[in-house]
Parts: sequence; structure tokens; C-alpha cells
Amino acid sequence: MISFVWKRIAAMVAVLLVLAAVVFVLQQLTPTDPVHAMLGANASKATIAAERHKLGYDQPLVSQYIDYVRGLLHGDMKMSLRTRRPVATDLGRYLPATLELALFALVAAVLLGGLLGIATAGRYRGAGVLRVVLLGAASAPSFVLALLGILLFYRKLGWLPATGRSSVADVPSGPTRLLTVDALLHGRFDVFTDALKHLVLPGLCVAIGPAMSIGRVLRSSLVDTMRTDYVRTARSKGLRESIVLLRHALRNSLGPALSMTGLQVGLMFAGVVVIEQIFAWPGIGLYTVQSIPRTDFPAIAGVTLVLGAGYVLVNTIIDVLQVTADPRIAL
Amino acid sequence: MTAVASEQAITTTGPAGAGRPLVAIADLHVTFQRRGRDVRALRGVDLTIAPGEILGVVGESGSGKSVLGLSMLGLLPTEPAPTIEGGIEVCGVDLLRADHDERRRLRRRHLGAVFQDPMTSLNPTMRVGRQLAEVAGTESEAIRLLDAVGVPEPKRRLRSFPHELSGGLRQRVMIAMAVAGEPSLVVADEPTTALDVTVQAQILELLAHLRDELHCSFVLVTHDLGVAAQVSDRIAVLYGGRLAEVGRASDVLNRPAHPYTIGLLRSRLTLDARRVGPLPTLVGEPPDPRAHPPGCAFAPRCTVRTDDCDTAPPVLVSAIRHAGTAACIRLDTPVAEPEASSMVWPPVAAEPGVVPAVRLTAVFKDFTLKQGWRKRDTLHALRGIDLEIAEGEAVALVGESGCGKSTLLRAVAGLHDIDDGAIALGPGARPQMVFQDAGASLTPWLTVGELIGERLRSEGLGRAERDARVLESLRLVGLPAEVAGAKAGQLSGGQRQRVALARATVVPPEVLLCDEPTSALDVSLAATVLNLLGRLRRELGMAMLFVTHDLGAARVVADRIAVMYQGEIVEVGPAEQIATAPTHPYTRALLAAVPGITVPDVEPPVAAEAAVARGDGAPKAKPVEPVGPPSKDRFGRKRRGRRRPRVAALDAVALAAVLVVTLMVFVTPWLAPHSATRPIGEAFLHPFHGSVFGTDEVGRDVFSRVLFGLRTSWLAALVVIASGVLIGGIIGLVAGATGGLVDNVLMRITDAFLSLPGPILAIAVVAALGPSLWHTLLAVMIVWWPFYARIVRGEIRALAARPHLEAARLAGVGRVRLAVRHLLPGAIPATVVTASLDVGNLVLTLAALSFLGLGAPAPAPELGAMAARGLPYLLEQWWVPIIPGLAVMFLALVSNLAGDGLRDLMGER
Repeated sequence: MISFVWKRIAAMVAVLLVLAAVVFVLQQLTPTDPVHAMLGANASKATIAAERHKLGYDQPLVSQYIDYVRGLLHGDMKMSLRTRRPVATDLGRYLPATLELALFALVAAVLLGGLLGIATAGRYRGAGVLRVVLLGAASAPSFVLALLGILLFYRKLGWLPATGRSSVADVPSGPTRLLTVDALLHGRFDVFTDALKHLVLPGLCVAIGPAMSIGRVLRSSLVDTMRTDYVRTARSKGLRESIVLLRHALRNSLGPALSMTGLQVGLMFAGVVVIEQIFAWPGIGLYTVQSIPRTDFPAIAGVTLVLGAGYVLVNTIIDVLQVTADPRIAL
Repeated sequence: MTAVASEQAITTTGPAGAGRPLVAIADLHVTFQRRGRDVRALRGVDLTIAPGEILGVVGESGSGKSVLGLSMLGLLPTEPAPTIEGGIEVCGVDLLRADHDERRRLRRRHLGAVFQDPMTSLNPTMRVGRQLAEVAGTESEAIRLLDAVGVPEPKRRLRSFPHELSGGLRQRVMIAMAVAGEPSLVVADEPTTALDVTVQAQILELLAHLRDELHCSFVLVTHDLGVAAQVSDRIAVLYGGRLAEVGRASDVLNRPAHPYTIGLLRSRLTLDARRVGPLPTLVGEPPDPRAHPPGCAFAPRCTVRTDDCDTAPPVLVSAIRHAGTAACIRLDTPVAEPEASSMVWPPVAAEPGVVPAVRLTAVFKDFTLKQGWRKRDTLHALRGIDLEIAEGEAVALVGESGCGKSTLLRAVAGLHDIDDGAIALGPGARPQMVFQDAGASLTPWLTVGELIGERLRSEGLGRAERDARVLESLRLVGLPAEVAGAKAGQLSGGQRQRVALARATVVPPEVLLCDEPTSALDVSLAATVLNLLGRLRRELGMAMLFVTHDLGAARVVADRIAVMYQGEIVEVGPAEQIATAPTHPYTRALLAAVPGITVPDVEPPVAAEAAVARGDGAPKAKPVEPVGPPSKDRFGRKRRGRRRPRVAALDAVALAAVLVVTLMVFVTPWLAPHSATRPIGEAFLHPFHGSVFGTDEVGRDVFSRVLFGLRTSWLAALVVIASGVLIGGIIGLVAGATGGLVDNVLMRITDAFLSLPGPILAIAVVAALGPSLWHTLLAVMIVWWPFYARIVRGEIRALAARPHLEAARLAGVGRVRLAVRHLLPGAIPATVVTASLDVGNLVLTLAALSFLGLGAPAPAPELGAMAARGLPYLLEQWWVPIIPGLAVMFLALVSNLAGDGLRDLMGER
């Protein structure tokens, strides 16, 4: 078991190195010279050459890569061409907001997806209609849902806000920098409810697509499991159908759904970037969107690395979870 | 027994002393719907079961025996639900009128079930103790039950998982679960079929023992008369969905009345069956449940049939020869012993000086069970085998599961390498194999003619000559010429077996290898196949190596028998001698465990009273009636099932919509009144005030821009999918087909790509290269292909493990042809389904990327970009960002629905 975990960690490190390499290669392909862009259009050739030498851009590629990785390990992700600050600093400022949004969306997606999967797998009335509705929701791009959500809940009903993280003036900048958690820790329930209200619309928009996918996979897996011989045995014992579903079928159906969750985390990042733009959510996504038109590649590279590392970490955890949950695999 | 006495004998309720019957089934009809056709599993069954008796229900495939067992449990499948007519009352509960909850409570309190395969019938992730406690209630009760069924160390076993127990132990656990609630009735559906012969005997004994202790009734559903004979009090024989004969076990087995039972008993491979010539057989095959003959289902195969037999299915009447009942109008005609075939086969023995067909010298083979990279365990499959098979000789390898007989067979075939020793083959053609599951050994999408013809490719024959040889080989195995154009799925089990034989013998090999060729067949067919094997090998002069666990079959087919145990040959000698008077203790144990039908004959009891006491047979003895509407007896209940349409209406609409959208790609310029890049008009015209969907922020017609946008999105998605499938498919095919190092390397690369977060990477790639439509497509393609590589490779690997690929390899098919004709077509359905389901995702991803500004720069009509640019106008001129967004949604929805529909369509096939 331990050796399995070590192997997965080693694989994770390998993938991260590959990711860094890919980003590094892409960096070499950008049409704009980062140094030129940093110094401005009027800089002379000599100044540019000197700056290039200072920053080590004229070294052979392989040693540049090694320096790059070493720098990454120290948290150095170069300078943003747009904000003129170290990318790492920028990310540090914007990451907590995205983290809070992503966590909220993940929890919502898993809960929603789980409920949907179970509800549509059992032969409850109206399951067919529900399926079509879900299919419709799964086919909607997240920005459409966001726009419709704003039109309905903000413009028409006025229940939820449309921008930002909080409407309260003095916010506790507590230990975690996740507004909801900090608010609870400081006992500020007004901040807590306000932050939640701001989270609902963007969070659900990010969560619906993944929730549908997870729900569909769970449903399909449950339907298959409900046809197995051991479920027939459970029924032959005279157990109630709900017990058969929850106690016998569910645990054996989780595998594919867990894998899908891991996959969806990666897809959720793209959703987060889009949603943050629409709701002006001050997170990494907004940062990325602002960097794209300016071709601020170091910033985009930094975002890719951070989000990529998060994705790989989550999937490794899921892999380990899956294997430990199945008693048939002897480790 | 006279007809009058028999009428008095048979009533629905027994006399006060014996109590009411536990189970009363009256004219039960169960019909399923499969692909639009009626499958009539039960066609009017009348049966009662008394408390405390063991009833053996014997039948072959298509007889409906499993359906009968499941009906008694109230466990017939519900999706799709079958149509049930007639009456079935179990423990006083009318199963047709009862609702779901009532039936469940009945199962909980009064019923128990034991199913065929204990590995799949126990929850693999739940401990045995917990599964048992669900019915037993407490842990101490569970321990007591495990003890009662003979599980050693019960307290420790409570914490085991099912896969940690042997097959026999698992079945004992299932039996414990079945009897835990002190049921009145236990239905056991083929409880011993998946077990070894020695374990089988023990399990049957256990059932009888439990009946004595608990006084519950058992219904033992089985295809093997021998198994039923061992423990049953009464035996009911099912054929073609109706009862053929019911009576006391000793009566049915010693004085069978129905011609089918007689034929079945005669074609059993007992240890005193004839072996010097062809066996007596039942011609033909059991009827297809989708197409029953109008009269007696057995008539086509019956030797005493008359024209009256074809008018209506006969009802149960008194069986003249014993106290039970049989459904036949010709009971007074004796069924003659089939003419002992005058053919006598000369014995075959090794001739000195002639090169043997196969010679195995000190053959060793180990399997290492690997865990990832590390070696975990070594399985010594073959431990020093010495065997010689003379030219034209038939040798049977007998042993239980795990003894290594299949490994040996495959080693001779060349499918396994051996670690030590030598296998020397004679000078003739390469060995050919007949697999256990003949159907699985035939590539499903090629016709019979193509499959057989493949073996003739290297003979250098012209097309016409090849076809003639194919037809000749079919004739030799007794198949009509039309079969050559059919595919494996269209043939019955027996026909598939013959096709496999034809393929193996069209170019007669030096030695024919048979892997349990009869174990998957009905008993009545087995004798026919064995006769065919015997005749073929003598006509074509082939040697034969025949693997089986059935001593009876081995004795009939082989000249010599070799007994294997744990990788070694423990005894070898002439067939008759080994089968009747073996010397090795293991062989003797095997022999003792063979279920024979030595049930002591009991004199028919005086009468009527005894028969009444048991409630034998049908409620009423009716004369033969023309088939009319189902009679309404005291239940007269009918439950209808639902008929599912083949393709849902919604999916059909979606498929149509996809076609329309694809068409639109070409006709957009004619459809859109304004070009997407036409000079600017008035900004913000409300929908329908100047143009259909209004105008966007720069005054261009939203409708035409959306149409052009749809075109771009659809084309882009199709391009990416096509290239992803192509690249991924090729890589997957190469990896899957090649295996080994190439597979490993390719899959590592694929996994690395898959481990990276796709969309983020796509953003980074486009950001690096600069925003443009082609860069976006390239970026997405880079992210998408690994997905398909994985799928195609997975499908290919799954196919590669299937017998039909091995069979094709043995038939001498070359590597390229193997990959293209035998592997690839099997991977296509899964790939197509995945691709069709994926298009929706792709549309959404491309739209999101263009929303972020990573697609073509303005004023190109990309839907996502249109929505993004319209964002500031959301609150006042809502249509500017919303309508492009809805267009994306429409495209994705249509793709998803069509993909679902395509998947359902292909799944049905």
C-alpha cells in the first residue's frame, strides 16, 4: 500500500516536470520577446541584449530549463509583463478567491451529481423527464447559464448579486483568506451570509456542467450494477429496494464516478476562467483573461503551472482513494 | 394406473394430513420481448410443490427452467417486464396480484435462493459476515449458520471477502444465506454447475441434509439429470416451455414415459455407454423460444410422432408407466431402442516406427503472477509432462479446474511458449483447436464462408475452388450450404460448434485439439457432437487431444485417457480401463464423484391415495383441446409488460437535427440574408424590428451572424473530432495490436497528456501561439487525441484477449490481416459512440475558448466571442450576448441527444 502511494507520488512528480517542460517549450514559441516587451518598445538593441544576458536568456535551452525548474521550486515564476510584479506575488493575491469558488463548485457538483445519479437510476416516477432536463442543462455552456442566471436572479428578482465577492465594507482578512471560512472564524455572520450569496450564482454556474457529467456516469454505473447477480441475491433476501440501492449497489458503482470527478476538476478550471470574467470575480481566472490580450505569457505560464499542479494532485488523491476502496485489489 | 384413478388422484389441494401445497402454479405463461419479437419462455406450466419435498426441475436451453425458478421467487426482471398470464401462488401469496412490497416481504419471510455463480452472486466489496447478517440478524446466528453448512472456522470467515474463498465455500455461504430466515421454500438455480465434480457431490448432500433438518422444500433447477437424480424426491422435466413429464424420481429415471425423457436418458454419457461405435442420439436441437412449432415442441425430434402431434401442445395426462404425469398423446407406443448402429469403429493404437502426431517430453510451464513490476507468485502450471499421441489416436486429458489441462492444450497449439522440455509435432498440417465457447471463437462480423476460407488462403487455390472446399467442409459436419453466408450471431449453439469444427478440419490437421467441446452444449446435443468428432477423425485420419472434466465423455471419445492433477499426469491408460477400474487414488475419487443415475427402483405404490397425498401433477386431466385463449381458472390474472420502442422519438429528432445542421454548413450563404462581415448598420435594433434576432453592438444582423457562427463551430468541432479520432485511433491501434514495449511507451506518452488539465493547456498553447481559429483548433486537437488513443487501445486489448483472435491466429491469418479484419471492426462501435457523445463537449470547449478571446479575432462570427463582446450590453440589450450563447447550447444539445440515440441504437445491436 505504501509503495503504491510512493509510486503515485513519483508519477505525479514526473508529470509535473513534463508540464513544466511543455510550458517552457511554449514560452520559446511565443512570437513576442518577453524582455523586449518588458523594457518597452523604445528600448535599444543594446539594452535588450544586456537585459537578456542578465536574465539568462542566452544560455543553452537545457540549462535554461533546469534553471527554470529550480526557480519554480523556489516559487519564482518570473515577472508578469503586464503588472510588472512577480507572477508568484500576483498569483498569491488572486488564488484564494479562485480556491474558494472552486471548492464551493466542487462540493456542489459532487452533491448535485450524486443526487442526480441516484435519483435517475432508481425507477422513480418522472425519471425520463428529469433525464431530458439534465441533458439540456449539460448542453448549456457555462457562460449562457451565468448570463441567464444574472438576468433572472439579479435583474428580475434581485435576490443575488452579480459581481464581486462581497458587498460588505470591512472584511476580515483572516488566516485562510477564504471569505466564508474567515467570517466564521471571526464570528461575522453578516459577512458569511453575504459571501455565500456572492458565491451561489458563480459557483453553481461552474458546478452544473460537471454535476451533470458526474450524475450521468454515476447513473450509468448504477444501472449496470443493479443488473448484476449480487444485486439479484440482495433482492432475493427480501431487502427493501432503497437498501439494495444504497447499501449494495452504490459502493460498487462509485469507481467510474470518482474518475469522472477527477476529470471534471480539470474541466472546471476552464469554466472558472470564463465565470470569473462574467462575474468580475477577483481570482486567477480574471487574471488570466486580462493577460491573454496582452500576451503576457509568463503570467499564463504561472497560472497553467499552478492549476496544472492542483489538477494532478487531485487526481492522484482520487487514484489512491479508488484503490484503497476496492478490497479485491491486494496491494 | 387407470385413467379414472389418475383423475381422482390429482387435485389442487392435498388431503388435510399433507396440508396445502406450498407452491401452486396454474397454466403459467411468461413471455419476454426481445428486439420486437416474442420470446415465450413458459407456455402453460401446471405444477404443485408440497412442503418438505425436493423437486428437481430438469431442462435444457430454451426449456424455461430458470424462468420458472425466478417466477417462484417473484424475481423476474422488470426492465423490460415480461407478460405473465395464469396463476402462481407461493406460500399463500398470489404473486401476480401482489404488489412489489408484498412480494418482497414474502421473500424475506418464506423464500430463499441459491444462484449458479457464487462469485458474481455475492457482493464483492462487502464482507461475508455482513451479507449473512442481513438475513441472519445477529453475528452469533451467522456463525451458527456457517457451521451448519460446513464452513470451517466460521468466526474467522465472517470477516472474509468473497474473493478470498474457494468456489465451494462461496456456494456454502450462499446456501447459508438462503436458509437463514428458516424459509419454507428454497429455489436453487444450477447451484453446482460452476463447481468441480467432487465439490458438487458435497453441495448436493448438504441440500438434502438441510431439507431433513429444516423441513423446507427445495426446487433444484438443473440441466443435468444426474444432479437431479442424486437428491430429488420428484422430478419435473421441462421442454420448450412446457412440462414434459412429472413424477417421482425413481419412476422418471427408471421408467420414463415421455419420448424426450427417454431420449435424454439414453444419450447420457454414463460410464457404460456404448463406445465402440456411434452413440444413440436425439436428432435436432431444442426449439428456439422465439419460434415454437404449433404442436408438441418435441415432435420434430420424436421417433414416434404422428400428424396429431402437430395440432396442439399436449397436456399432462397420467403417465401410464408410472404414477406421475406426462404430456404426450403417444404414451401407449413404446419408444424403440435406436437401432444399434452396425458401424463398429476399430480401435486405434500406436504403430511402432510411425512418427507420433504429438510427443511431449518433460514439458514445464510456469506463470508468474505480476503485481505491476514486481513478481508476486509463481504458478507451476505444467510440471514435467510426458505424453505421446500416435497418428490417428484420440487421447483425452481429464482433470478438474486448475490442473493444467487447458495450458497443456494451448502449449501444443503453439499459443503458449513452454519453459522447459520439448513438444514435437508430426509432419502433417499445424494443429487446429476447437474452443470451449465456439461462438466466441468466431469473429462476429465475418461470415462463416470467410472464416473457413481464411484457412485456405495459403493453399493457392482459385476463388471457385476455395468456395467448393468451404461447402464441402460444411457438408462434412452436417450443415446446409446456406450457412456459409451467415454470421456467427445468427446461428444456434450447436451450429456454431459445427462451424468451428468445419474451420478446423477444412485442411485436416495432424492433431485436432478440443477444449471441452461439449461442456457448453445441451446434453442432448453433446452425444451428437461426440459422434461427429469420432466420425471426422476417423474419416480424415486426424489424431485428437481432447480436454474435459467429464470422465463419461472421455471414455466414449478417446482411445486412451490421461488424468491430470496439479500439473502432472498421474495416470494414463486405455480408456475403458481408466474409466472403470483406475488405480490412482485421485482417479478413483473422480470416478466416485460422477453423478450416476443409480436410484433404487421402488415398486409403484398402491395407488391413488399415495398419489393424492403428494398432489402429483396437474390440477386437472383434460383431454387434448385445440389451442384457444388462455383459460380463466380461479386466478385468471394477466400482467402486461411494456413494449419499448427501438429508438426513442426524441433521439430520432436529434439525429435528424444533426443532419440538418450538417447540411446547413453548405447552404448558409444562401440562408443568411446578410453576410457576417457586411458593413455596419444601425446598432441595437430590437428583435423583429429590422431583422430576425436583432442587431448586435456594431449593428450587424444577429441572425446571419449566428448562422455563420453555427457553421464555424460545427466545422471546427467535426475537424477536431475527426483528427482526434484518426490520430488517437492509429496510435491506439498500433499500441493495442503490438503490445510490449511499443504499447508501454505509447501509453506512457498518452497518460502524460491525459494527466495534464486539457483546457488549461489549450489556453496556454493558444496564448503562446497567438489567437486565431487554427491555433485554437490545433491546441484543442493536441489535448483531445489522447482520449481516443486510450479508448481504441482499450477496445483492441479487450478484443485481443478474446478467443476469436486466437482462433484466427491458429487458422494462419497474417498479422496485418489479423489487425485490420479481426481487430479493428470491433473497436469501431465504441469509438463512434464515444466520438458522437464527445462532439457536444467539444462544441462547449471551443465556445468557451472563443469566449475568452482565444479564437479568431473580430469581426469573425465565432459564437463565444460574440457573446463575450456583448457582455456589457447584457442588462439592456440582452439579446446581444444571449442569442449567440443559446445557439451554442442548441448545437451542443442536438449533438448530445444524437450521440445518446446513436449509442442506444448501437447498443441494441
